[in-house]
Amino acid sequence: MRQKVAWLLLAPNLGLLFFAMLGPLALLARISLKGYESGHGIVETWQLSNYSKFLFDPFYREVLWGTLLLGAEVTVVCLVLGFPLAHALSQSRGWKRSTLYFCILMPLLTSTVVRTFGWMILLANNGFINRTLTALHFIHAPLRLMYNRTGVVIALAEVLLPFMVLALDTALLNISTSIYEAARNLGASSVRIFLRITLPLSLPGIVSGCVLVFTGALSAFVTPTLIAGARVKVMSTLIYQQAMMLLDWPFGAAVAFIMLVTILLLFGASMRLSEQRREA
Amino acid sequence: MQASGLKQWTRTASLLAALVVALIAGAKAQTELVVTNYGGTFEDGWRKAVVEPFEKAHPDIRVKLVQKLVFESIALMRAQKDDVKVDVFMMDEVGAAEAVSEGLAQPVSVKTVRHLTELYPEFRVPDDAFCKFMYVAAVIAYNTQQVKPAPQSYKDFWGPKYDGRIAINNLDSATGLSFFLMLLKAEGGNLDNSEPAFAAMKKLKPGILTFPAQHAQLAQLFTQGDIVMAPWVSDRVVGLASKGVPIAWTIPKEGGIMQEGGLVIARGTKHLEAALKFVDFALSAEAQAANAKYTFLSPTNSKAVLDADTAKRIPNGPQIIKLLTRPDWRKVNEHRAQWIDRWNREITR
Repeated sequence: MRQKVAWLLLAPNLGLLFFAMLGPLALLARISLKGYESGHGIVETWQLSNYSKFLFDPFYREVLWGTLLLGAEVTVVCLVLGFPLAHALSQSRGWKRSTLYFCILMPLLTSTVVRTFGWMILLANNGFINRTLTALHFIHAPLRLMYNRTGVVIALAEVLLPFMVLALDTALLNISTSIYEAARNLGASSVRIFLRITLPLSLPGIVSGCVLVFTGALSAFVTPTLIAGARVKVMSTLIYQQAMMLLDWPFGAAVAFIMLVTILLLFGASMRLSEQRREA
Repeated sequence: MQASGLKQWTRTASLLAALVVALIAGAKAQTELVVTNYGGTFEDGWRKAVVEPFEKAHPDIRVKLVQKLVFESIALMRAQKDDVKVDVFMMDEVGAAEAVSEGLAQPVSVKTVRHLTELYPEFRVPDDAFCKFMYVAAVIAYNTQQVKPAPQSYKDFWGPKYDGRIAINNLDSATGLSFFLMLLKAEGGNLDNSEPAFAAMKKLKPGILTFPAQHAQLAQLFTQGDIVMAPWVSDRVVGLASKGVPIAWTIPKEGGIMQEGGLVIARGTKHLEAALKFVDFALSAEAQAANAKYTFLSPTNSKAVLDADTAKRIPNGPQIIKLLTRPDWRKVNEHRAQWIDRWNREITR
C-alpha cells in the first residue's frame, strides 16, 4: 500500500521525465543514425558513420578530452573554494547563516549571460583587473585572463560554485556535533579531526557537489563561447556548430549522445565509488 | 469634480468603443500572421518601421513576431513542413538558399508581390523564390582614434601594427564567412582553391586576439578597446557608433561582401494571401526608408528615399552596391562545411 502511494507520488515526475526527456532523447538517437548531405538535408538511411567519424578522429577526441579536463579543473576549483565556505556556512547560526546563505545563492538569481558579460568586463585586456594592476605598476603587459581556458575556468567556477557549496553544506550539517566533541575529548588535533571525521563523513556531499559542478561545466555553452571564443573548443560548442551552423543534425546528435554516454559512465563510476566508501 | 466626471465618461466611452471594435474584429476573424525576425534592437525598429504601419493598413491581419536566428529558422521550417505554423521567415541569403534548395520556400511573382518591380534588378532572385528586403555590407570596422589612416585593404590586418589587437569572427558566422571570401579574392584564390586564404590565415593567427562568434562580443571588444580593427557588418558598426563608441566602417579597395536579408514564405502556409501582402508591404519604398532609419539596414528598393542623416551613415545607392560582391552562395554552401572543418583544425586550434 505504502509502496503504491510512493509510486503515485512519483508519477508526475516520471511523466515529465518521459515526455520532456526520454522522448526527445529517443528522437535524437534516431536522428544520430541518419546521414546528411549539405544542400539536401537529412538522408533517410541507417548508419553508424556519425559515431565512427567522431571516435576515429583525433581532433574530435581532443575536443572530448579537453571538455572533460575543463570540467575537472572547474570541479577542483569549486571544491577547493567551496569547502571552506560550506564549512563556515554549516558552523554559523541565526542571522549570520541567513546572510551567508543569501550571499551564496545570490549569483543564481542573475542569468548566466549577464554574469558572463560581467566577467568579460573584469577579465579583458583592458578590463578592470588588468587596468588596476597596470595602474599600480604590478604588471606591464596585460595578464591573459580572457580569450583562453583560464578565463573559462574562472567564470565557470563562479557560475557553478553555489551548487558545490549547497551540496557540501547539507552533508556537513548532517555530521553530529557530538562526534566532534568525542574526538576532541580523546585528544585529536584539528587536522586529524578534519581528515578522519569531517572529510569521510562529508564524502556523499563532496560526490554530489562534484557531479553537479562537473556536469554543469561540461554542458556549459554561453560561458566558453563568450569568454574564450572559438579557440577553446568544447563539446557543447561543437554540437552547436554542427547542428545549428552547419545544419548537420545527424552528426550533432551523435556528438550529443557521445557526451551523454560519457557523463553517464562517469556518473555511474562516481556513485559506485561513494557507495563502496560508505559500505567500507 | 467635473473634470473627473468627464474623465470617467471618456473612459467608459472608450472602453465601449474598444469592445465594439473587438466584436467587429472578432466577427471578421482576424488573420494571425506569424513572422520571424532577428530580435533585440532589430525587432524594435522593425516593429515601428514595418509591422505597425502594416497592421494599420490591413486591420484584418495581425502580425505576431517571433524571434528566430537564421539557422533556427531552417530547423523550424524542416520540422513544420507538414503543418505550417510560422508563415514568413526572415533569413539571410545563405539560409534562404538552403530553404529554397530543400523545397521549403513558396515562390512569389510580380503579380502577387508588386513592389518587386521597384527593387534594384540585382536584388531579384531566380524564379522570385524569396524576396530580398535589405542588405548590409560586410566591411572593415575600425577604431577611429587608434587606426589612422582608415584601413585601405584587407591586407592591413597583417603586419605588426595591430598585432594582438584584432579579432576575426569565426568562420561559422556570416561575418567570418564574408571575411574569408574577401580574403580569397585578395589573395588570389577562388571557391575551388581556398589554399591561399588558409595560408594567409595561418600567418595572421598569432596576431588574432580572439575568434568571436556573436555580434555582442565584437561590440564588447570594440567598446572596451581590446581590439581596434575587425571584419564586421555595416549596420552593427553604425549601431555601435550611435552609442558613442569611436568606430567607423570602410569598404576597402578589394570591395566588400553584400549580405542580404530575405523574407521567405513557408511553402504550405495557411495564410498565403496575408503573407504575400506583408512581404509586398515590407518591400515598399516607405517601409524600407523607415526601416533604414531605425535599424540601419540598407534598402533594396531603388525608390526608397532616406533622410539626410541616415543616408550619410549607412551604405546606400547604386554606387555602393557596385562595390559589393555577392558570391555564388550555393557554391559557397557546398564548400562551407569543409572550410569550417579545416578552419577548426588549423586556424582556431
